[in-house]
Amino acid sequence: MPDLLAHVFIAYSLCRVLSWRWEWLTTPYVTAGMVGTFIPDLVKVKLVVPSETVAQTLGLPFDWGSLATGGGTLVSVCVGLILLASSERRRGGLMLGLGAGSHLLADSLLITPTGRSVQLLWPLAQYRVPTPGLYLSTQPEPMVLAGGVAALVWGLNKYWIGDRKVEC
Amino acid sequence: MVSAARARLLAIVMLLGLQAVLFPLYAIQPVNDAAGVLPDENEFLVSPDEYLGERVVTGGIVQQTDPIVIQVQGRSGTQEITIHEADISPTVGDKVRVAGTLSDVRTIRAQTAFVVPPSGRWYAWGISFVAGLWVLGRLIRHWRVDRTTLAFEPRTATLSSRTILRWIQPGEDDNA
Repeated sequence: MPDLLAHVFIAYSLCRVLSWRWEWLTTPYVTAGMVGTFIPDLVKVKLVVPSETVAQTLGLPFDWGSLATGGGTLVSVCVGLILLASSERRRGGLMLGLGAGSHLLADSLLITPTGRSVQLLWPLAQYRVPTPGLYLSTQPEPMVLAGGVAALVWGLNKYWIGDRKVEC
Repeated sequence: MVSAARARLLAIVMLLGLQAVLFPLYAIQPVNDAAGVLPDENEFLVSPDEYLGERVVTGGIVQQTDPIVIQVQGRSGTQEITIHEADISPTVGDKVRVAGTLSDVRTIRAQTAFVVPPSGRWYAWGISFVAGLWVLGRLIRHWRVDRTTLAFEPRTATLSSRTILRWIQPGEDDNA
């Protein structure tokens, strides 16, 4: 991942710009998109409980890594979908999916030693997408850039487009 | 209403079950060069002979710098691995990620390697925590949970910070 803040900035910008086109996409749904970016990072549970520890405890092969694949993310998004009120499922679910998807796409541009990154189709296919290797997850530059774009979008929304919206 | 909550919980348990099946499935994923899934520490630490001369990928914390020795943690335990021909100059405590040829049981001839200094790891942690707080704040302000059905729905009016303060220091029972 670029850091989570970069992901959140990307999701905010994406959802806010979409809100200029889609009347129903109000501020709560922008927030839903931002929440969605956290979904693939559930894999970070491995830093609290390492996969090896679970494997030893259960006596089974075990790896949290599936949470950051396309399939694992889809299942997590479905959990979010269930948690939404039935009237909100289409809109809220779409936003969660957009947020999670933007996270996986941004991650597929990371520098990796192998030149390959995210398994977008796992468990259907093992294929890791080739990465252009734009940045390291520990670099602040993507966050600063995404933050700048988000600030611009926020400003445009507030002072230019915002007359039909109540607040940001 | 109670049944809606129950149906919701049941569906979530089923999805978590599905998620749980994926963890072992991911762990036993076979090596697949064409798909970009190279042997890593969970393979070459266990049966190094099988992967001698093959391209492998791993990473770990630097223990020594000349030659570069990293501590690699796999499912089978921890091992020190020596890295040759890497075009990097890490210091002890940095994290190194490397792909290259397994030239000996505990030696990798690097093709690509890069360094993640500890400050970078702290940065990623700290800034991600800030992101978590920000989005959690927005979630609380813009969404509410219907306690009878356990469902999230947008608030009709954004929760003001004054109302949140009133929750923390209860006075009046206003729930808008």
